[in-house]
Amino acid sequence: MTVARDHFSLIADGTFSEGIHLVSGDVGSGKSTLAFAIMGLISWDSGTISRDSIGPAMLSFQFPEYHITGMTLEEECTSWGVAWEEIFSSSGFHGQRDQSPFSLSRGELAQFYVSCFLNRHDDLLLLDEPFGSLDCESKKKVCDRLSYRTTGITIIFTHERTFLPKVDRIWEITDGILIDRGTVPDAITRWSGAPSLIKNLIREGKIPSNISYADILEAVCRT
Amino acid sequence: MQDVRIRICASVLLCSAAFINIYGASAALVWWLLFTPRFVIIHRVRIVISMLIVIGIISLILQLNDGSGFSYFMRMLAIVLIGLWLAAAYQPGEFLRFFVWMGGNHIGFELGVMAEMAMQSFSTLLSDLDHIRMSLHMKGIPVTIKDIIPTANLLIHQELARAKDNAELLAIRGYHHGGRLTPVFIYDRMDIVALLGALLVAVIAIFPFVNFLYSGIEVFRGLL
Repeated sequence: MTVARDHFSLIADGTFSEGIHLVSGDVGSGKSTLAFAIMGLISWDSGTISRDSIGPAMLSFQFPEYHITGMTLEEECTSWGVAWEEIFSSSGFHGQRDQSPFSLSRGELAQFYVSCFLNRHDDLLLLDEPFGSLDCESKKKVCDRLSYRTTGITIIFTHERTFLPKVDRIWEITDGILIDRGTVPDAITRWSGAPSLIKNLIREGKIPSNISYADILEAVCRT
Repeated sequence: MQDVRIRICASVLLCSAAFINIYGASAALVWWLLFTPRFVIIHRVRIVISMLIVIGIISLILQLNDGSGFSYFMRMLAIVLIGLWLAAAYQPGEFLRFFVWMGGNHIGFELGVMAEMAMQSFSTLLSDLDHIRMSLHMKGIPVTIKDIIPTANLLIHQELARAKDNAELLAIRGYHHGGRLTPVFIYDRMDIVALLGALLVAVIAIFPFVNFLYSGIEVFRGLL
């Protein structure tokens, strides 16, 4: 499918199968546009997007405030169709169920919503810059939780360079074109926009088995 | 219409005329048909339709109550259409130029900055609304009257946060009071014709003889 706006165009051709996919690209490269198009929230100019055997789907916005539709955290959980007990126990918001979502910082809100997404078990989960407002510890936690999402299709759209989850496939948006770099670990060597740490490791012949922080740490310490 | 001064002046005249009576409203609608690109520049058709539905419901109630619904509908329709045209034709920076021209580099500049910020907020509000609608759609929640409270809550919170950011930004950049700007305006012959047309609309609304003529025509039509 193609999207063309005033000074921007995006051409995407590919199939996202079950597993965790990383779509990387610079700011303004078209990651959010692609996510919104896959979700059917914006129109595109040509081509088709088909969702075969996909049931419930969800897109996590870059700015978590836009997800707020309830007056309390408990109402928010209900609006996602998840049990609030699960969320509050897993994300550390215990005792805050009557609190307004606006009383949380953007980072806390992002964490709260990631917990909601991961408890929904959607067939298709699109995460637009899920690490945007998080500190390093929170990024690590989110990556760990994402790595354990074993069912459905998960597509992470991000320009995060340090904290990434274990992924199955890497895609890149370069010069307005979506490029499939293939499955990990082979994709890591073909990833032109890879973080400089990964590029240095490849140069030294220490190719990490995946792109998570733990995998990179293992490659760094490899003798 | 390129000159914002003429656009604002024409809008004030037309809205005032439409507010005064149904003749002014009718004339304003004719002006809108003649001098604006009509619906071409309106991008948010759904919002316009929603507004017209609300006005239509109120008009129906008024019509059933005291028979003034048709007049109310015509007047509101003219005001809404003129307002939409004014908003759609707006170019960033125009209100700042307009208020500096009108009020000078102190009070005028302040008013201009406020107007520009309000216009900026208006466009971000629409973007916020789009995102809220998408969120409700993805959650599978039908949009109901009940959702107005959390939606308004979100919009107010977002606006307050943005206002705080803007205030901090202005303070950091050393903004204190007023500024310096030499506004430049471009207009053509059609702008003047449109302004004269708006003046004519105002005269039609105000001049009692025209009202008399209209009532005479209505009596004549009633006899027929």
